[in-house]
Amino acid sequence: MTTVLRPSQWAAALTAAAWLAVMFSAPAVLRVPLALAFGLVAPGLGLVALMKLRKPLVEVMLAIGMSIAFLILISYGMVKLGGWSATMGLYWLSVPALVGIVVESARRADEGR
Amino acid sequence: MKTASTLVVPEIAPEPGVNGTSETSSRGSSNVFRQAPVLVPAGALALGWWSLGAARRPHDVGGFGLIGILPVGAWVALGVLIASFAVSAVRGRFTGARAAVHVLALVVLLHGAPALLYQHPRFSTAWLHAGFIEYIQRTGDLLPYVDARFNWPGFFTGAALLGKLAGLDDPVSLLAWFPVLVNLAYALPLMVIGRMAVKDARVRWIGLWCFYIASWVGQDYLSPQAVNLFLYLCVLAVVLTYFRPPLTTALKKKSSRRWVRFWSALWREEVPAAPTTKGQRLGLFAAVVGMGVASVVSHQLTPVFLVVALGALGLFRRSTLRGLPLLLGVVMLAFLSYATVPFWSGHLKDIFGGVGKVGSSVGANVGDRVQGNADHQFVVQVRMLVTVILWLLAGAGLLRRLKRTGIEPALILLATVPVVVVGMQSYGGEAMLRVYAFTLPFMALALAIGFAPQPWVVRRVVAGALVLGVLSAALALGFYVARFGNERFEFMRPTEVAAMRWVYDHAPPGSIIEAYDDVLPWQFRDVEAHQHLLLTNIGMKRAVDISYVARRMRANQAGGFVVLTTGQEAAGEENFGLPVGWMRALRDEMVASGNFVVVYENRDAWVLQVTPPVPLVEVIPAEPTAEMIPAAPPPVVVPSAPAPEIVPSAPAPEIVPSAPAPEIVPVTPAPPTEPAPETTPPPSQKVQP
Repeated sequence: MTTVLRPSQWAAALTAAAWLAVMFSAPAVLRVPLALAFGLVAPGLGLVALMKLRKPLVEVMLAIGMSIAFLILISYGMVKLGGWSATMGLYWLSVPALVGIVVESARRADEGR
Repeated sequence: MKTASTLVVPEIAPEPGVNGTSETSSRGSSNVFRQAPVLVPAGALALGWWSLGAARRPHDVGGFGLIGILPVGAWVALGVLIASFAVSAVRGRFTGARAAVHVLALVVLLHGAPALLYQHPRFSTAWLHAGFIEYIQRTGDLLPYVDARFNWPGFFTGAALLGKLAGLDDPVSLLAWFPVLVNLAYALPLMVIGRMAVKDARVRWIGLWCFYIASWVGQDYLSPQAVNLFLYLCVLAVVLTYFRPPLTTALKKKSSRRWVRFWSALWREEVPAAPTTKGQRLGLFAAVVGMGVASVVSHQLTPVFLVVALGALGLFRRSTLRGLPLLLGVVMLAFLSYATVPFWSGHLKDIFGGVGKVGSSVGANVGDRVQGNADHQFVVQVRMLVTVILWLLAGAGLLRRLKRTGIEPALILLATVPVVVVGMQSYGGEAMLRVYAFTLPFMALALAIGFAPQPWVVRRVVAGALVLGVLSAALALGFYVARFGNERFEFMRPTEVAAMRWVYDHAPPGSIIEAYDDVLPWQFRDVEAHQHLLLTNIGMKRAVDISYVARRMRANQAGGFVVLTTGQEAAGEENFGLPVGWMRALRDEMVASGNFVVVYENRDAWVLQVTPPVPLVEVIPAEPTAEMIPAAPPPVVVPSAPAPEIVPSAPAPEIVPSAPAPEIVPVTPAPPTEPAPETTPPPSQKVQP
């Protein structure tokens, strides 16, 4: 039996992997692809998961498009507010990336009651 | 006879699966012949990759650029790929994995060739963007007075954050493969947009193929516009997929009847918008606004195209989000008013002065570009030819389809409304290029829809494949010339990179670094530590006033350097018609004037320092290499000299939007006796995307 991760789980997994790679200064061969995949996919994927569009092509496109928008807006905000920090950037990008799994878990908990 | 046979396949091809699976894989993998449509393009990709990667790294390129140094293996790979595409597409099985592999191979062979062939990334502006990103990574700050692009810094800050997370301290490492990655990303929104325009998946793939093979504009380097085109397409894809009113529903509304009647006449095979819940629409609207705002803070021009396109869709009842262009327009104006003051203060005429001046804008975009030597003019003419051919074919395709089944009106709108921008701004002579870039996705789709048989009944398979193959081959040849035809000055020679690294290793902070033309790998690091100027930006056309340049450098406490490279020499010959050998003459004249001495030299670069020389910052005994030739006179190096006083950063340079191409003065540089201007001219600044 194969288990396929849901989009929100993918977003959470990418976030966790990127955190580990950045925090422990993983070798470039690991850190570069993980950080790029996280920054370019995870924040958007976390929110796209909530929309349940059921169109994989649109979901992937939106995940990348929204992630780029988050990257641009969060980094621009940090520079303009004088709070430039890669760690802070990682924090802020993780918020939308984890929204999906948090909301889905809450929904499931509600349904379980 | 095969040519007389009729091949009938289902009108609506099966949609490719999530992961691009096709019917081929489901029929079993043992039959090699069934796998041929995938194996052949994959083999062509492997051959092309190996051939380009194993080829001897070029040290120079000829007048027509990359096309002259492509190895035989790459040509064979491209030929096999095009033949495979033509046969697969005409036989009507061009979907799923087989189509994806063809398109992937095409993108790598066309857009990835320089990454495989060159030792260093090409195109000087990309190096400059890497320098902006490096500066933000290092300081967390912007330099809005140093370059106009820093007034729309979203792309650079985003790339800096991503690079920081990835641990990439040298953004130059991102340059080589960025065009391939961003081109592949375009496929996502283009395929989504294609779904609203045509039901047949193979036609969408053919449209995508046409897009890549005709995309010669070269805006896909590490740049805000490359990412913004992706955002632009994503916004339109969402709007057209989820917020497009069905014509039948719109018919009920009295106010829109005339439009519906008009569109209904055009479009008789409507693909309905995807059904959504209220929550989904809210989320999609937020996503569209977020991507639109990100575009506003990261590029000057894309939001204008976006507002125009969304406005046209709303006006002609092809989008229910009729307030969205207004909202984005307000955000754009607010951002322009408050966040880009350093750019527009004193330059409002440059921004709005072009509104309505269509003639001068077209002149700056077309007429002024057809200049320079014969090679350069040929490249420009090929660009125009490819553009005209594509637009004519797309127009003919639209008309042809209108007569038969009709066509989605939104496609007509998006393929044409970007032209409006030419009437607003010449954009430094680049508006037509951008119009081509923004219309191309829809023109390419229109071309595919217009000429693909619907229903898919191909009566002359061989003839059809021949036509498609010959057209693709012609466009591919045109692509190499149009896209990479200026490689003599867009290719970054290893020796030029070595020279610039030497300069940054040795030039005292605050020193002036000047070049004849900005076609060299500079400003990729320490962008704030030096003033980067052009020798010719003194209101004297393309002539150089050597004594003035020397006085300007001597007035600067940290002194100055002039960097002359083979790329600049080629740009002078190709763009401005300067005679062969003009750069050596300039160098000799500078040295003979007694104002400059040569401090570094290799086969493609001379570095001159103003006299009396300011002590160099750091003396790094360079390892002698084959590329280095001892300069005469020997390098002026003052060992262990006290570091020069750091000159506070120069007064904020005035930002001058790039003017139309200057008049050509096809003579060698002006004699030093020419009187120098009294006032200090502004450093070179270009508002370039």
